[in-house]
Amino acid sequence: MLRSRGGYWLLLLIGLVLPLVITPSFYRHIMTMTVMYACLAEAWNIVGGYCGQIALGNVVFFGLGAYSSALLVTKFGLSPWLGLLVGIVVSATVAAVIGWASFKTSGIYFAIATLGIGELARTLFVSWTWAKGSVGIEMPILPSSLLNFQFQGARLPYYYMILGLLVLFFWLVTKIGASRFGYYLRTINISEVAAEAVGVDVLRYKMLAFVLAAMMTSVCGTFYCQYLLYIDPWSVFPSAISMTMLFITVFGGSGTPIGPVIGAMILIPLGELTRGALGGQGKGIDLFLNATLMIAVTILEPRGVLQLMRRLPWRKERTHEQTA
Amino acid sequence: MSKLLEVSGLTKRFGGLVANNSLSLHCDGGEVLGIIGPNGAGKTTLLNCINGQLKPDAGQVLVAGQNIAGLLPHVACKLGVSRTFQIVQVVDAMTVLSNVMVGAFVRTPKVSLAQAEAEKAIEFVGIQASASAPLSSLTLAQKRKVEFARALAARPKVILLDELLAGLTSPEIKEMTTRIQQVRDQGIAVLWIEHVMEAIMPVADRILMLCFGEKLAEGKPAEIAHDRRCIEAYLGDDTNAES
Amino acid sequence: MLGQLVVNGLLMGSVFALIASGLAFIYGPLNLVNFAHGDLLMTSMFVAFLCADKLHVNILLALPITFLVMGIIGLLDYRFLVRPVLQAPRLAQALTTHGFGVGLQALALFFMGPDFRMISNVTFRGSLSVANLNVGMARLMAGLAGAASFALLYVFLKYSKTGKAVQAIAMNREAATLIGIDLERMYALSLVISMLCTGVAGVFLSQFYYIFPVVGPPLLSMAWVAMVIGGFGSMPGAFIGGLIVGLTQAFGGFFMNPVLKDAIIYVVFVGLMAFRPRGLFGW
Repeated sequence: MLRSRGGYWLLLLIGLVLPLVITPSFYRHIMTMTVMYACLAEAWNIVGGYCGQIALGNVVFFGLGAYSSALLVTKFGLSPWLGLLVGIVVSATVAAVIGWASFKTSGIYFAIATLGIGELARTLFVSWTWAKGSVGIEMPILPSSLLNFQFQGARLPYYYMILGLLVLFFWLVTKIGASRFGYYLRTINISEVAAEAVGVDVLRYKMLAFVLAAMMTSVCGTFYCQYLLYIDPWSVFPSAISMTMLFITVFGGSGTPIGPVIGAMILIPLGELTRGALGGQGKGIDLFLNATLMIAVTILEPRGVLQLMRRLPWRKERTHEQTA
Repeated sequence: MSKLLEVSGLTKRFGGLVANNSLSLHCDGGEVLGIIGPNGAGKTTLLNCINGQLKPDAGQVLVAGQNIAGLLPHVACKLGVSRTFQIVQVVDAMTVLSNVMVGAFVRTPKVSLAQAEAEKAIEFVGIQASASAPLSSLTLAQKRKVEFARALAARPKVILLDELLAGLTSPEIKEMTTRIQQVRDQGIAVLWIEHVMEAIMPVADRILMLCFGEKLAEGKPAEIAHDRRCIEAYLGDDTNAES
Repeated sequence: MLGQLVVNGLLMGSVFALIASGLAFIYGPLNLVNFAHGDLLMTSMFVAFLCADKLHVNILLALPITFLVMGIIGLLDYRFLVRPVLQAPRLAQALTTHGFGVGLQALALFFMGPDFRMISNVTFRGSLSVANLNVGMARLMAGLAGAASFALLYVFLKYSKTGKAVQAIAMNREAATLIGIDLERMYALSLVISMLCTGVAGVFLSQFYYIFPVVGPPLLSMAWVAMVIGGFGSMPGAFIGGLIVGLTQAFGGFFMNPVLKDAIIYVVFVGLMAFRPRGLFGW
């Protein structure tokens, strides 16, 4: 946890001001992606960080959110905002089904089930010709407006939209952490048996966490579709996005509201910049660095950067601050 | 007049092994029913069947007249059954207060009310000095108390204690036993599995002895202490038995 | 026609079973979920490819070479990546093994490029015609190799002292140490055996399957499902699970849109989880 509330406001200020100071669109794109991934990680944080359920395929909700918007707009001429709602409903349903089927058994099944759905979704959408398959869907270019959910030109409003979403998600996760829901999730994380014995309907709360995370992820997917104005199964359903959500949260510090934000702030620009510098020829060097970082962090400090920060000598007086 | 807790015909099998064979017992508010027996007698299985962690193959578990046999533990808790565990299940990442609050939340969703209830429970078991300490710094006795407080914060009608004194020192045992008596005096029905005989025999109102899944004997502690079968069950034969 | 599907399904299923046993050998004794398993399979396929393409050896030599390489990789993996996280929470294990897998993919991408490869001078050519069934030699040998390896593993586990030790660890780690089993050695051994299974599967698969850096994850998914269908902890279960997955793929691919075959398997998997998580033979 940052030293005080002031730290959070400072971060927000930087977030608000940064794109105005650094104007090249390449960097603004990185900022937008950083904030979006922070949102995705916050969503994952609820089910994976607080509740401790290893969801490995959350990208499926991202893709469903993206495709809902894309299909509703291109096939039915409806508003992408409706697509947002449809995406949320579809994602919540898928999450509910998978959760209900797997949460009654051990966590391994849940991990495998979520892994499988991610892979499955990609292969299904690749061959779903009505949804344009591998060719992907190109969104019609419309005049900039909030109603159209599109902004041409500097595209700055996109950034502020997603930043607003992050603020909302951050607030949500903070509220959850301080509520009964949060206490229950953290107990389920450590001992489901104890949680049950103390009155927690474990199945119900795991499902709530998972469905909530799914809905939040879906919103990001819809955003992504409107931001890039082109999607295909490879860009919105890759398992890399699932693992990134996970890694960002763990790297930054899972089970805290600020962890995913810190993780995203460090890892996404790092990834984007190295990819631009090294990975361009498809040689996979950035992948290799990514992998090395993942392994190194996990083995050295599995509780993430936040814990690393706590280990610094000048922070020692805060050692009894355990919860966020 | 029906008791707070009435168990009848409780049977639980694991494959070919009959862990609980048609057991019946009762325990009323303000009573301590001690459950003793050699290892493997089926004591913890009995507890698990009562609080819902295991689904019994047969039998009824009536709490204030309502049959909860086979219902999930969280339902049993809402209906007034709390328990502690042999191996303490507390959340290291949360403070003592937070841990106990989890128990209080079954009665109220509000954080402030849960906190107040938890503070009461913490004071009752006597660990208010460590209320905001991290779990990792506590002794075993203190961790047991945290679990005890958590169970009490749920305002149970029936509380199931599973070897609460195991591994504690003499003074800790005396202290914990006093708390258990205080819980009983609050009108809660206390079902207490224990191996530390010197602690449970003087305190329990009645004792039930299990052996190989069957009820061997039931009665006042004094009767049980002189019951030949019980002595044999624990010691193998009566050569080492006292008078 | 039906017979053809059954044969193809069983043969491919036998390979899935072998891949699944590789997984089981790590999950059982080490209680580790190895997310790099698919990518390790990919590595063995590439090693086999290089044996055929660069060294121009046939499968008889490719097998021991692959064994050697995979065995070394397995030991290094164990020492540096697996051992540090054996006691760590599941999440940490997932990240380390996944990271390893991605690292392998990156290396494959760097050295071999993203293109799909096929071995041009396969050892098993042509096909066998029996009754009105037509079976590719490569697929036939893969299926037989899978079954044979599986049988060997089963015998090893059931009748050899080391095998029983491995089983003991899988069932109860602490008790195993109490009776004097050296956990370290057994862990390393289990990992090496898993690598050998992967090696066999990879070498035989490479005779007829496309080889490319990201071929691992989909195969891993199938292996997981096979394990779950058969039941965690059961070797015969993993084999039957593999066969079922193979058959479902064959029939599903024929009667429905080929893509749906994966969906069907997934639905079966979810249904099993919901209603019979023990699988067919599991604990």
